[in-house]
Amino acid sequence: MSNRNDLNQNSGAGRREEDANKDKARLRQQELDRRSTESGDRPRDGDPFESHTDDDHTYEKGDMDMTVKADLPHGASGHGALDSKNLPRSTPGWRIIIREVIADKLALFSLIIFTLITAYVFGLTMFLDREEIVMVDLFAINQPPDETFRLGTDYGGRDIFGQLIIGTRNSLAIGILVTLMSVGFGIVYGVVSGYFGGRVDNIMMRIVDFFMVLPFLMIVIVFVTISPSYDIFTFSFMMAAFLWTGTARLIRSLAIQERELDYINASKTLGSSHGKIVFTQLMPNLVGIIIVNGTLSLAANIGIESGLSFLGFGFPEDYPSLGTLLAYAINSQTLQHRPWIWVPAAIMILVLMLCVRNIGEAMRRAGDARQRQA
Amino acid sequence: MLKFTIRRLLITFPQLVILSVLVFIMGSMMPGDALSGLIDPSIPAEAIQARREQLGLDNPWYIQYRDWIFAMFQGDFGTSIFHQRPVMDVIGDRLMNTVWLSLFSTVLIYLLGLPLGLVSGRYNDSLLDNAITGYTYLGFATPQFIFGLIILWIFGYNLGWFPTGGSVAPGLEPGSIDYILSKINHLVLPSFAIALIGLVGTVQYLRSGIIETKQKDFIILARAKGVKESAVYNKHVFRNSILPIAAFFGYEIVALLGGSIFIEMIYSYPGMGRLFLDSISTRDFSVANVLILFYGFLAIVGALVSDIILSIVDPRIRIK
Repeated sequence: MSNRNDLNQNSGAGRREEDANKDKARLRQQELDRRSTESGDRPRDGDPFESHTDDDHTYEKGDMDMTVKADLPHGASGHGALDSKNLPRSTPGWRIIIREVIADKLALFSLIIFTLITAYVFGLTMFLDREEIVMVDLFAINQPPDETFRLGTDYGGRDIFGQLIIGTRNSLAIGILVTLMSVGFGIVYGVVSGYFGGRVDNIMMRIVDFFMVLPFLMIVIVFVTISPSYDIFTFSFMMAAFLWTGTARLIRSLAIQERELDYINASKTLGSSHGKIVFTQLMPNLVGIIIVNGTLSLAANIGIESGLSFLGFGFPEDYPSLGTLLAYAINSQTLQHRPWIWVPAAIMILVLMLCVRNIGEAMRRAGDARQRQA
Repeated sequence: MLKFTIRRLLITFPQLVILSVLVFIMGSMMPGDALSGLIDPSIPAEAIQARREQLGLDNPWYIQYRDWIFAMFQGDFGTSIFHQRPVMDVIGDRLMNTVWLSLFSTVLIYLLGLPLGLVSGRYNDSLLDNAITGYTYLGFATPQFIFGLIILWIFGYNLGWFPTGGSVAPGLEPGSIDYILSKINHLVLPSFAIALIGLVGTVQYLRSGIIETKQKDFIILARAKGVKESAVYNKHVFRNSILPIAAFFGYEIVALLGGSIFIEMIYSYPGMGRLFLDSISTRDFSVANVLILFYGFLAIVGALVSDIILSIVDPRIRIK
């Protein structure tokens, strides 16, 4: 899908009708909420997280001319004509993001829910005994929810509630690990490819093209099957090895745009080393996009991980994940007559993915000054 | 145009070579080889060794790789250890089922997705548009397998409207009207489960494309000329917004073929995705390997077709 993102850039024309509504605050709110659902919509400006002063609020109200920028990006120390000390201090990208998430009621609600679930799950698993939960109890097979088992038991007499808690923790942990690995590698790859460009870029992008056509799911399944043993890190690594391409492409395209901007050229002219430019000037301007990309990938990765365990290629049953609980529903008796086994896990996955996506979409909106609500 | 196509084709060949090397390496990492399924414990070790040499299993890897490629060009994809039949025959049994499933899902995606996107973009911010965008928002966050389970639970078991597994009712004469109807009946649930989630991307892209296009000057001109409002949308706006969707047709088909693993598993539909999972669980790696090669090949060709369509509809791509 990331291929499509390149094509799908909302032109300013679509925003004209937004103008008509701008005095109706409620309608505008709806428009913004709707915008938030457009996944492929990428900010048009080269530097979406360009520093942002309070003056910019006038542009937000539908002003078409967004080229006026009152201030400079980070790291633009080399501008001779401008005295950077007299310029208003710019708001860092992450502060804009936080402001936007708090202003968006849905995102704030999602953030609270997500934090609560995460804290509850990670807190409770410290006290839960995994061995006890996954122990087979033949006298309590497939029991519907009652006082002893809050969410009933599965075909091995194992407590669903305990499995749900442990499963959520495992799914979250793997999702976060995969995201960190894949986004981390994608950033390095994308920055190197985009910043240096030329032949290096050409070769590196052909490699990305190749990875994108691989049947990812099948190859991971084969790796999982033939590797004699794996733990949470190697499992995450196997998934991340195929999931970094989206980030790499995105970061590369941004690095190319950034590379052509004056502040990088000025810095080069002044003789800064590549390392200094990349780490102190280029990267700070990409942080916002990276956070957004990481959040949206996390939602996708939670889904992919539970999908793999659903097919039976995750961890064994005594290390349950949310997908493991759903996999019991392959049995038609369970699907039909014992919904307490799989419905809670399905709801948990949906809630987690929706929450993370809501947060990510609000963050993404923060990257586009025209769509901000804060 | 021709130059672009030739350059794009040139990229395809290294991709195919690397894919085949990758599958070959994975094949050699997998336990068991062409002989292990045939070995009878009473055969002496020397005889096995002689047979191994005869089959070239002790040759260096590059010779083996060359032999493997040559064999495939001659249509020999190896033998399934589990089924004791040529891999191609085993896949051939399942191929048409997956093709039908993908075809049905694709038709449904465009049949439902295009009108939804058109309505949503034309009447944007109306109640209907809000409902459609709300649905796509949920659809983006719903994994396909959960949606498939829920659909099966509601329409297959609780309401009992459609069969819950298989591809055709047993005991029907192949080719008869009943047989075809039964096939279609078995396809309804899985293809809707794929399409209702798969169409969200199409709806989103068409919607933003239409909102973008309907503000352009040539649309205002069309209205000024007195073109009917329905014709403005159905001809002028739609045609100009459909290009990106048309261009990604190739990717879409490939994604559908690959993504049907979950649905084939949930609906116990005897297609290639199901065959892949079965061959993994029976350790029948010769089948699994050919399937990976097959899907990878399809994806490479799909990307090639998409890029060529894209270069036809969007001349900017060609300049590079």
